Amino acid sequence: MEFEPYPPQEAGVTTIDATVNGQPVTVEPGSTILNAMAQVNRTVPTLCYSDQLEPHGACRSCLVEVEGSKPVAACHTAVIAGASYQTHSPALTRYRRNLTEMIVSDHPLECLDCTANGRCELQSLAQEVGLRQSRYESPATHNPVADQGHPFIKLDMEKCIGCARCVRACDEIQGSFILGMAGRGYDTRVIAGNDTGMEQANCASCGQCVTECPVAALEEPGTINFGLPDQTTTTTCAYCGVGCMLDVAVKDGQVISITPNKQGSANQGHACVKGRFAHQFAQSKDRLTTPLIKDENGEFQPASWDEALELIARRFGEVRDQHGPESFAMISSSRCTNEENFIMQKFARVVMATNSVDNCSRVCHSPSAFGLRMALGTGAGTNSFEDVEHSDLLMIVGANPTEAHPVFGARIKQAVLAGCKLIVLDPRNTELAQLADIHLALRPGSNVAVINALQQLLISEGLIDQPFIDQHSEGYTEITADLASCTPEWASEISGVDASLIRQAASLYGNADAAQILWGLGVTEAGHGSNAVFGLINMAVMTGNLGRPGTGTCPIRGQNNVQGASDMGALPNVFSDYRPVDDPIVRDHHLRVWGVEPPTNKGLRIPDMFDAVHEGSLKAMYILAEDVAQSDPNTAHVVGALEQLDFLVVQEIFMNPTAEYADVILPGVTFLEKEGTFVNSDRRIQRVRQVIPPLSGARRDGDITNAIARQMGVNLGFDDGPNTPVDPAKVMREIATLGPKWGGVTYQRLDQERFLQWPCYDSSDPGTSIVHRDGNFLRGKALLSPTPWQEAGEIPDEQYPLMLTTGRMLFHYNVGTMTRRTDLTKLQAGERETLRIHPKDARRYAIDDGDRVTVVSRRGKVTVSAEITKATNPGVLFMTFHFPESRTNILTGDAVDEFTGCPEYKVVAVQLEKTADAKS
Amino acid sequence: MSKNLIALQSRFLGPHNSAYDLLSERFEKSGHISAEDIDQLAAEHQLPPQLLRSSAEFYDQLRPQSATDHKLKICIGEACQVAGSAGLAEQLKSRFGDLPADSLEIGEVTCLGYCSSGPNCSIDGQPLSATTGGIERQIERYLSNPSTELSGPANRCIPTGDDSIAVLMPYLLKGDAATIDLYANLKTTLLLQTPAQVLAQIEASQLRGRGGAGFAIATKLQTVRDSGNDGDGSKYLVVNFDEGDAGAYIDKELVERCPALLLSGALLAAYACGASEIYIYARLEYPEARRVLADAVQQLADDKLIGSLVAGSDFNCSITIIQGQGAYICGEETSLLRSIEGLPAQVSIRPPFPAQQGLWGRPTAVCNVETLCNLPWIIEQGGKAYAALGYANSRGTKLVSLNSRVKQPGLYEVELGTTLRQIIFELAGGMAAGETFKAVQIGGPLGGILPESALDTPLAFESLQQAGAILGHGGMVVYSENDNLADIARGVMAFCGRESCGKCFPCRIGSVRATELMDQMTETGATSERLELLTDICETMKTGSLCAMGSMTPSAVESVMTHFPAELRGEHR
Repeated sequence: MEFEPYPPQEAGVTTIDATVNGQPVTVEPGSTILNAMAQVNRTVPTLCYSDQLEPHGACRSCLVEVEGSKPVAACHTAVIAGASYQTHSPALTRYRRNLTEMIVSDHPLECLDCTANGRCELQSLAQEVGLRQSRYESPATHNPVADQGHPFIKLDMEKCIGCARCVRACDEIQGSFILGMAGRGYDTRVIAGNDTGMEQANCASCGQCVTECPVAALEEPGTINFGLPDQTTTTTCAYCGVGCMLDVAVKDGQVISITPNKQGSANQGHACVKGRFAHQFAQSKDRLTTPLIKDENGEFQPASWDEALELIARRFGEVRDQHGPESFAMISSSRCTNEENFIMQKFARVVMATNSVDNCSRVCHSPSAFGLRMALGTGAGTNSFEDVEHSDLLMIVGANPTEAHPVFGARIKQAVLAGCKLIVLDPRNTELAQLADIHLALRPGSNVAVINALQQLLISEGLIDQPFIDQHSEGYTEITADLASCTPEWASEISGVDASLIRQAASLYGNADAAQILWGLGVTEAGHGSNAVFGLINMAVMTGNLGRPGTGTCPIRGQNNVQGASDMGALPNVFSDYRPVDDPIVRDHHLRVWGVEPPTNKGLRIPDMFDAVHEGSLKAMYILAEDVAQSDPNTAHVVGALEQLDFLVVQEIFMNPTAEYADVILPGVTFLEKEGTFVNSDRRIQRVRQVIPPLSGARRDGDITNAIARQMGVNLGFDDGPNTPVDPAKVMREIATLGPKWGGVTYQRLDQERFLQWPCYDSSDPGTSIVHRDGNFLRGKALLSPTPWQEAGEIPDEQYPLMLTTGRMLFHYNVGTMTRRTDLTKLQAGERETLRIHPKDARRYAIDDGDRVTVVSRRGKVTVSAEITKATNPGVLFMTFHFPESRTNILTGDAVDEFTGCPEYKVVAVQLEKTADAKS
Repeated sequence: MSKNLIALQSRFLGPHNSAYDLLSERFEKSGHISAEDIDQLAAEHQLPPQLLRSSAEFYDQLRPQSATDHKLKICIGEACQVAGSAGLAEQLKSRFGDLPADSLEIGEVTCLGYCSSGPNCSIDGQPLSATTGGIERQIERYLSNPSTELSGPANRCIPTGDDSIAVLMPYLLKGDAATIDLYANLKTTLLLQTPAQVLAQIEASQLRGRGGAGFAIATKLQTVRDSGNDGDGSKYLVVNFDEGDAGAYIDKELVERCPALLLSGALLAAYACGASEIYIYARLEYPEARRVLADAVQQLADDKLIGSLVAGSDFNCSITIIQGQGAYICGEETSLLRSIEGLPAQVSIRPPFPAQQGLWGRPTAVCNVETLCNLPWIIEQGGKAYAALGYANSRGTKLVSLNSRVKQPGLYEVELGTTLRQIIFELAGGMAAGETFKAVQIGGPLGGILPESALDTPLAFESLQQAGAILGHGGMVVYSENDNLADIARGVMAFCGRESCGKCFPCRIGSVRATELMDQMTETGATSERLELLTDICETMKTGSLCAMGSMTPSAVESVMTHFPAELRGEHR
């Protein structure tokens, strides 16, 4: 047996010179021959190689000759100094042809009706090496096992060549470990789970296996049913705040498939089940296609756009003129583009002369934006997704990214498996909590207590960065006194978490070189969210964990453009770029650009709006793509307000519970039908491009708002005259003019550079991946704020002894408007709402898995099936809010964050009643 | 290989525990692994079911299957094949084949390590030879009462009489009587010599690995010593006791007869390379050796020769025995490491070499049993004394094992450079009665088959390679004129089709295609087109395969094509 020499280990070598096909190449140490080949514009065939995956070395088609040695695999062999490689030769071609013949002997030769025909890597290889026929006489092939049970991922083992790219994608990218290579020898095969088939195996359905498959062993319905697309357009996903760049394939005007874009900076070629497979809603038959006006009998009647716009313009004008600007309010939409949000807030301020415009970040991350702006000077996360790869510790608080932000969640999981330490603060045993080094499973509502104890321990254990505090912050002395009594034992009493675990967490955080804190709505929607955010920021400031790679304080934003909606000034207190409405310089700037004096009233926040209706001061509302009747807390209170309004305009793509209360419903369009931009969770501005034309009868949302303005006699300045569409690029120019941190953003740059992260001050500014570099806070000095502990608005008592917390699941999104109109409903896991209950509680209430139970809060009751699971902890129940038929928010309460009005969705005191006919 | 799956196992099972351990324990408890076991273990330990399933399916013994009370396995290794395994299989199947499957399962095994007395079989892992007579009666008795003592076969260790070349043979003959001296010498070395001094002796010996690859052991140990002196600094020595080559029973005899020799050698190597944990990966089919080894390790612990501050030195070392579960490829070093890590034991790409990044990503010296067994002698007598023996670049001695086709089958120690003819015709006394020499295969299934004309080749790494064979691990299977070499070569290809790790395409597919082709040639003729295709398959496997299994499996076929072409047409004398 030959043995290969150990490669020489030379220290301090920075480049390696060799030749490929006689031409010199220079590469970094460790660089593979395959990489080096790019320098001489040569490639060799590969089947098991993927630039998204670690080299595997299985297919052996990339062998190249090396002078003085036997051939080596280019994909996984590092270039050796002075070596001379030959990529093509008669001998190599003969080898590759024989190898291909061998592979093809175990593969059906039915290319014509194969779904991969024309894009099959094996077919290309056969073509390249000139394989014309197989010499094998009746070779035994494998039993054709087809796993067609999954709605999106179809596995046909007969075509599998065993390259394991799917298995490795499931491992190295998604981190779900559903697929594996089982068996040995010739019988080695791909399995899912315990060889149970893809769906039974709890596949996350990200589709990465399909992307990687070089043949047609893994396919998706789009390709199977429609063949090649007419065109493919790159756009940005409209589900969560990760901002995945997607390639949308269209045929005959229909979206047939969506695949992740490899150049996508936020997703790096990955996508999740929603972004990739849940697009059928756009073509759903129940899309709204005509304006609807409610008649005197309360029935909606189809109307022309002219009628609808005329009516709206008249009624809006009357309300404004008769009752004053206070009588009108708007809810803009985090689902719509920046441009549309900008138009909305400009409409409010210029046409309706009111600051009463808000967006759904009010009910999610308003405490994050507020806290970050107050403490550091900018209302967004400080660092970027890629920082998780530079962190040696992540602390994730009240977030479940592997379900709610799957692509970022997968990236976090990869970082943790690669050795990054992980602390999770969450009442639930989320996937990441199970992986965590320390899981602080605190009682819902007790965040601030635990965070205070962590702060206190950082100080008392001497884990703070005193020079950083001295040079770059203020307020340290003030907070230390308040924190002194916040011992871990005290926090343990409140939160139910072991004091020793809190100590360990503080020690881990305080001793990390680069620690990053990520948080979700479990912080902001769980009682005194702003104080929790301040506390987390305090921890980072005190330890100097800001302004460097791998550090930072970052909220994980829930909606595709919730960051953008706020950036655009769809908020009552600020214009775009968070410029205060009461700042004279800013007001003057807007006066000059807009030509009108901006309003001076104190704008209403969303919860205030409903209160104001009940009080009688708010008469009319314009709600854009926000189903408040389902998604806002305390449904009864919200619906009561909607009923009481004199005039309500709802702009939507589907009929929904909010629209039921509208006087006029206007049909908008989906993200696939419009141009614009979204801002994702890490301040990444990315283009949204029109993939299909607007549905006949519906209009782009920005065009609708603009048309109402035109109808009311105001030219907002974004169209080319009456009855022409808005030019989103024009809107972006005004955004850049009015917002200094957007000064360098243009469509041209976004198209060329694919994304820009604000702050981006001018055309030479590449954008900002890490804000507050080296202690240079946008605020000047970071502000350490006191974070007094207060009990949440909802506390359990004898009557309501259990805590219900709410959130998302992987397979659905928000109130299900989109996902419930897609094939996601075909997935078992996405069928219906359940009440997740720990086995202990289930025993206590004598509930069996699947029993119907009624959950009763101080405000209402809903009936759902029980799902017994250790994913939640004793005393804590969990429900999503994706299912209109169960209306979880009937239960949630009125308590809000004192600074931002953000509601406490995550903390609801409830009791359980077993339904009489419990067995369903 | 998946770093993530290693990290997951570490997180949920604790460092250095693996899915493989879970599966092995479950097997020990219930005698088989079922699909339900896998679901249950996955749920209990928060591991992906896929990992447990794919790991389990890699091994003969852990593969999910229905329960059976007893397993009767007939050896189909080359030595037993020519000694009559087909007849034995027929005999046993006709006698026991009617028993229900949940009572007795009849299957196959490749090599039980008693090649000197084939054909052999095993009942619940315990060996039986057809040559000792009464095999059916023994099985019957066992089935009615499993505590029955069976009288199994035994191999002989045959001294050559030349003490000047006796390095290992004295230990084999002395057995446990050598233990006291071995450990006394070990203690002295640990106390008086630095690792560098030990390494220097090993280097001076010019000892090359006896597992097949023939890599300079001193270089390997030095690389481990020099690599990965960061992090927690942990390094490992892995003893490859997965002697899977049919026809070889060298390591088995070394361990069974004198376990202290291996343990001394392993501790010396660990000391030299800076490893503080030794893992001995012991072959499934050698239950007796595992038992002996376990006792010996326990004795070491009792004597405080492992653990912390061994023998008063500053050396800390632990020894863990890991039982193989039935996969030939686990004798390949990277496959073996993946097996310990609990992954499906597919071969890994190299570099990085195990000596740089091996077990759990740390520097690991993977050494064969016989290699390590030479170290006590080398340290005691000096490296130079060892290097004084041997031939060309192959220094020292080598144990060779011979099958029952020769007059005196058994284990011999020869100086490297001894010719094949001397071994077969002088030491082993020539062919057994009634047999005429046809060919010899050296180094197990991956070794080439040499005809009479090559018998003057010296037994050494390079000379054998030049002759179209390998030294390999030193198992020699002698074939007589009664033996069908095309069957042997086909069997090697078929073996590869079953035992390939399944990763690289040439090995996984080529082996099966070659098997089919050879069947077609026997049935309907070895046409020139078919011969050309067979040559192409062999070339592709040799050039392209990821490890030695795929690249050397064609050796037997090529030997037959070169030396015995007529046999491919189904004509053998």
